[in-house]
Order: sequence, then C-alpha cells, then structure tokens
Amino acid sequence: MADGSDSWTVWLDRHGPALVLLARQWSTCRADAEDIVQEAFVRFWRSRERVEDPAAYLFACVKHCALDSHRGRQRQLRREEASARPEVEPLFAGPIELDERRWAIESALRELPASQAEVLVMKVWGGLTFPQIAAALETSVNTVASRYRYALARLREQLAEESIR
Amino acid sequence: MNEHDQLGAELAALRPLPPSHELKQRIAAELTEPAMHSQPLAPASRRHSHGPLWLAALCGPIAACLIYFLLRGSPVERPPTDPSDLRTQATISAAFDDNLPSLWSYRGAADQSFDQLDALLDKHATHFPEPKPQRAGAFVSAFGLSDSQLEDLLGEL
Repeated sequence: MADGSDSWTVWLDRHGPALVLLARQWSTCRADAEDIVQEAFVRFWRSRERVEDPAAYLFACVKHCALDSHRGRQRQLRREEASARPEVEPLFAGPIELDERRWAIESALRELPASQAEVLVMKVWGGLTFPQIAAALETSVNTVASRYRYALARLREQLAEESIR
Repeated sequence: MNEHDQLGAELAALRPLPPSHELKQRIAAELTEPAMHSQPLAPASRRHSHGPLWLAALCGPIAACLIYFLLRGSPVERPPTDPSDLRTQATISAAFDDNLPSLWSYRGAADQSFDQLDALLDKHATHFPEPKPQRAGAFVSAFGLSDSQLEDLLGEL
C-alpha cells in the first residue's frame, strides 16, 4: 500500500474507535470489546493481503470474533459480573453540555437489534459504504440499506420517547 | 436535509471512544512476536509449527514396532515349538482352571471349607455328566473283549 497505510497503527487509528464500538454490541464491558478487537485486528493484519476489500474484511473479522467471544463460557462469567454492576460504561466521547443527549443516544443504540446496530456503526462511525457493509455481513446491499433506515427510524422513535419523559 | 440525514449527522458528530493504549500495546506485542500463536497462519508456517507433532506421530509407531520385535525376538531365529511344550502349557493352564477337575482345584476348595468342596464337586458334576449307558460298551471293550464274547461271559455268570 503506497499511501502509507501499510502500517498497522494507521489502520488501528483510523478504524479503532468504530471497531471497539462495533464489538461493544456483543459485549457488556469495554475490556471484553477490546479483547475482541485485539484478536480480530491481529487476524486481519496477518491475512489482509488475501482479500479484495481490507476495510470490509476488518469489520467482518471483528464481528466474527465478537460472535465467537459471545459464545465463550469465560465471557459468560464476565458478562454476569458486568450485568451485576450498576454503572454503564460510555460509548462516546463528547462535551459535558451534551452529556444528556449523548446518554440518550447511547441507550437507544443499546436497545437496537444487533442486525441494525451493526449496520449503523459500520456506516456512521466506520465510514463504510453500503456495498462494503454488505460484503462484511455477507448479505445484499438492499438488506443493508433497509436495516440502516430501520435503525434510524427506531432511534428517532426512542429519542422522541426519551425527550417526552 | 430530511429527518434521516439530520439524525445521521447528529450521530456522526459523536466520537466513539478510541481504543486504549493497552490495546495498542497488546496488538503490537502480538504482531511483533513470531506468528506461531495466531490462527490465520500461512500454510507453510502452520506446517512448521506442527512439525514436532508429525514427527511424534511417525516415530511413535516405528518405535513401538521395534520394541515389540526386540522383546519378541526375530521369528526366523525362533526355534520350532516342541509339541511337549504345548502339552505342558495346556496342563498348567488346566491345573488352574476351576472348570476342570484337578488336584489343585480340589485341594484349594478343601482348604477353604467343605461347602466349597461340595460346590466344586457339584460344578464338575454338571460340567462332566456321567457316561451314558450306550457308551458303557466302549469302556468294557477296552479290556480287549468283543461284545459277543462279553455276552457269552455274562450268560455264563
């Protein structure tokens, strides 16, 4: 890669936040999510030259590792411990004056079905195109676009309910 | 700008938390160490990493065969089996077989109790029933007399 993107740190700096956010969809704590990203990123980096679209492949790796991890028994124990903890770790950084809105968006995002949340994360924060997301999820572009629209509609509903409360 | 675009823009304005410094360090450590522990290894390095296993799988059976032949001895050098050896082996095995009547088994049972001895006798009685009457002639003929000679003899008595 002649543009300097052949360094793994460039890839991690560019996609790391979205990858961790994506992994959080299947994990209850940030430590688990980072474990997933670590495994997925190393796997991606060692086999990236064999794929046509490395960015889509990177997100696909995170999803596969997240699903594997989700099924793991050891993670199960940590999930139980994390669910017993009352505090919720934040997903986003932002100014304090927008904290309330940010928390509302985070809670709405957590309520989304995983199939919609993953599309939203890849599109909005991962910067992937619909065809790239379709390749990563091994589904059609139309399905991806539909899930994106449903996700936004559902988020809007939940945020409206939240503002009424 | 429609509602979807507005919400999309608001979402895009949020910045997901970056990976921790520890994550970077862990990835750096994994990527700089030899590629022995990762799953998506190239086929060549995978073969290399499993080399000792293949070696053990090949050498194990060969070593087992060598040990077997060393302990057993070469079949060419082995002297022909003496038939008397086989008879001796059969006798020895029969002596320790409780299903067969032998001095050894009777003595062992008698040492324990009379009930054991009775039980052993009953056992052998069922295993070795009394000769049937039609075979009696065969035993008698062992004395060298024919059936007709025996009948004559019995008639005289």
